[in-house]
Amino acid sequence: MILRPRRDDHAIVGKYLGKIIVGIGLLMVVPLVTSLLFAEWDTALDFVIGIGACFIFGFGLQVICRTEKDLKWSHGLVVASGSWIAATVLGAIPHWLSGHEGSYLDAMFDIMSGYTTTGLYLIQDLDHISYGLNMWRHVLTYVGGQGIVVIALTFLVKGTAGAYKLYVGEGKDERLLPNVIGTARAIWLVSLMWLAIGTAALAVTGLMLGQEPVRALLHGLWVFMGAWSTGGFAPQSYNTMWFHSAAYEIICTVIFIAGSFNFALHWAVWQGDRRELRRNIEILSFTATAFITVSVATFGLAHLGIYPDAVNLFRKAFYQVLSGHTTTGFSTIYSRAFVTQWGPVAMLATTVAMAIGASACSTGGGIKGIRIGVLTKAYIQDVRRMISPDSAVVQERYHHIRDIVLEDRIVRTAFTITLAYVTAYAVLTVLGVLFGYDFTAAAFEGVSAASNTGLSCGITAPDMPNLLKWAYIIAMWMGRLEFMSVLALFGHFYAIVRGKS
Amino acid sequence: MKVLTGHNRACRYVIAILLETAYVLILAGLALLVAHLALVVVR
Repeated sequence: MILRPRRDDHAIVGKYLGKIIVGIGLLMVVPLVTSLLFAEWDTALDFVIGIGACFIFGFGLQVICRTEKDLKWSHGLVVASGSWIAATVLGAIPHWLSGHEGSYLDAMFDIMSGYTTTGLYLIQDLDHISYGLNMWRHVLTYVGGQGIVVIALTFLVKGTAGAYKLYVGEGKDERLLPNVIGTARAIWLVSLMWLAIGTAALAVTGLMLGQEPVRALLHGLWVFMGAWSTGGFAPQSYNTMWFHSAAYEIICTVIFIAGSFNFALHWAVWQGDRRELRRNIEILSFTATAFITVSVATFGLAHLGIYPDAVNLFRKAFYQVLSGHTTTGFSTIYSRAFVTQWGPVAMLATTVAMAIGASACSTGGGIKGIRIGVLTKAYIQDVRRMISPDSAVVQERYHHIRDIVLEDRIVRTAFTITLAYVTAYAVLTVLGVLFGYDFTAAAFEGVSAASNTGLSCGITAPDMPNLLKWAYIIAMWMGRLEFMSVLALFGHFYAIVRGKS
Repeated sequence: MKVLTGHNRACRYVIAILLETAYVLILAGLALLVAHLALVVVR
């Protein structure tokens, strides 16, 4: 029996949603300060309006929804998924006011793409947007990578028992430390250490490439944020191809692969458990699938003969496919080149890499390496059972931070989420085909959106059908939250309408 | 659990980052080998 939510339930959801909306407003202070530093007064005003809207809604909700009750599981899931919607609607204000977006829908598309670390964009004349707006695009993708809720847990929410439910609602379920607030802060520590080192490396490379110091620093920071969060936003419309530098590409590759690792893995290695890097099931799964997809793409491209030598072939295939596999979306080729030059074999390999995606509890999206690893182990277990005597006890184990026995419960969960992703990929592909796009291109772009990758073969553009924009927005949102929280939100609305009092 | 001093902790973090970087570079080396192999086979 589904119960209709009571006033208290709405109050709890509203209170925490209000806190997170205030957090979004505080986040806009970063681009506001940037635009003030560069004397971009119009942009500064856009952010002042955005901050005002966030504070009015955020504090207003907290005043209306006063309650001392703590979160239950259903509240955590609803707040987590609802906060991404609120963050998108309100975060789009500065984008829309900038005049670089065709409509408010386009602005919301870009913001959802940023928060979910997808990287597809509809903003126009990207090469000439203000420093403040560029800072906002990259800050929101960096923050989205760690998770909006993780931010709230770090700075805004006190350590209640319900805090863990918010954290799980955002698609992360690993505790790095016994306390969930400690876990959120550990995630930030890892991210900020990488931010310092990665930005420095990219800024120095930019300087060596001849960029002005301020520009080198800002580009280094922004490209780092796009890479680490596996977001794929870059300050120039040519993405990382704009830099034309092998050194820049290698540094980006290191950063986006590190960003695609599970935070629990980072934390284990950082605590001195270096063997984890060799034994973890996600690393093994990623290495295997990355090797296979890069190899297939390389052979496909070699067959077409578009790259003259091995180094060029390696640079393009390795970078593009791994950028897809880690769900980053950085590219060093033109969008249309996927269709016009790469051909179906390399495109298919990239599509499969994007569909598999990064690690669980990372900044990345997609089905996730752990699920591929668990399902592979389940197949191995079944085959072993078939060829073993009836009396034999066959038990598979896998290593993820600790040794775990493969139970049916784990396999079922992995299968359910995998099935949800595959369904989303299929629906978006069919939708793309219905709108008249080529099947391979529709599959490529649909998988890219739902797996939060952001590689584009040219479908995502301001003149694409509005229905497809909505479909991609919903797919990015559902894919990032791994479906369950979003389904809980739908269930919440259903309960309001049809639940028993 | 051993209590780490600030200096030890920083060293561990940097070593961890270098290890993660080394992993990526090994992957890149493998990919370069595959690229060579692909061109040899195709030609």
